[in-house]
Amino acid sequence: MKKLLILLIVMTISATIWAQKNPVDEIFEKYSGKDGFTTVYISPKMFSILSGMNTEDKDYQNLMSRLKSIRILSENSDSLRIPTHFGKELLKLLPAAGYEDLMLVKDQNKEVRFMILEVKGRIAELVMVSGGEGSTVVSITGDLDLKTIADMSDKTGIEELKDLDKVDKK
Amino acid sequence: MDQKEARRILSKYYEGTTTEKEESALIEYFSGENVPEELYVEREWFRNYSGIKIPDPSDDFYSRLNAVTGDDKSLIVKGSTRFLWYYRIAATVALIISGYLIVHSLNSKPAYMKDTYNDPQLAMAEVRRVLNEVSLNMKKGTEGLPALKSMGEAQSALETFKSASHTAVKSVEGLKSNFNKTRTEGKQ
Repeated sequence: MKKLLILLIVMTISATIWAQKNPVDEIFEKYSGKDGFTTVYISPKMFSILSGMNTEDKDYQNLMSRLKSIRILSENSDSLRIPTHFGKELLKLLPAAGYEDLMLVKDQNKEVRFMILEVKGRIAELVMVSGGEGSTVVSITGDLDLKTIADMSDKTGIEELKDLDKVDKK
Repeated sequence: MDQKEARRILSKYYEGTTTEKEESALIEYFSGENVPEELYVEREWFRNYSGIKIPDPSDDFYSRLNAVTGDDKSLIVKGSTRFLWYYRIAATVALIISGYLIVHSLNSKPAYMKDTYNDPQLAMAEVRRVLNEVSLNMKKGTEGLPALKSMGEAQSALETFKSASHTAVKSVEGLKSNFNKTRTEGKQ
């Protein structure tokens, strides 16, 4: 009887510890679907399709096969609404969850901070938090190679991005 | 035995550490006349009850005791076993519920975790846009790095110059020794 009780207590405690969510997950769950916020999610299943697509760029194809998911949460800069500054809220929580600072880019009226989460010596998540009129959080997960990601802008032509204006986000 | 000694043995008696000899000394002391009034209770005890002999239990005492208590089912309180079963059932139910909750939370996904784009082409375009934005911001953050890179080049150039100067010094020393050698040979 005592053993059963101890087992139950241990299970409850471990479940409570285990149930503590990653701060990025928490922020997404808190604000996604709410008025004034836009969420974009590209799932691992979609990335498996993308990595199988024929492209001439081998580096790009390789990168697609290593990415697992992309999540974007952005706050629409709506003058009628008071901004929540959830980016700042998130930045406070990330160091405690094991995220490390990668870099901070300061512009005239914008601040972009990069944070990474390492698992077994590999970068498992890259979080980009940008503040300003409306915060944006981008979380990229997978087996990440920062150099390849940083070099992406050399390869992506602006022409390819024009089609995005036609896309309706959910 | 004086009063002081009697008090010492008495305290031992209350602790239960007296020997039979000490106990008989106490009985002897309290049966005497010189017992102070404050030890009245002890005096009465030793005079009247200390001689009572408590009989040892007979050999079959425990077997008879077991015959009465051990096998008699009516002596077991039924309520306690019933409660034990309630506890067991409650604990099992709690285990099943917690197990279900853990499995459920493992499998359930938040509402936002649904692909925004069903068309891979659109998803690809969005991925490119995001990666481009991330890349541009990263580039901004590493703009200062080319200067550091050239500093590294300067360092390596300095190393080459150092090794070249070493070789030159060695050659000069070689020439010097050769010159000295030929001069001594000429003198001879």
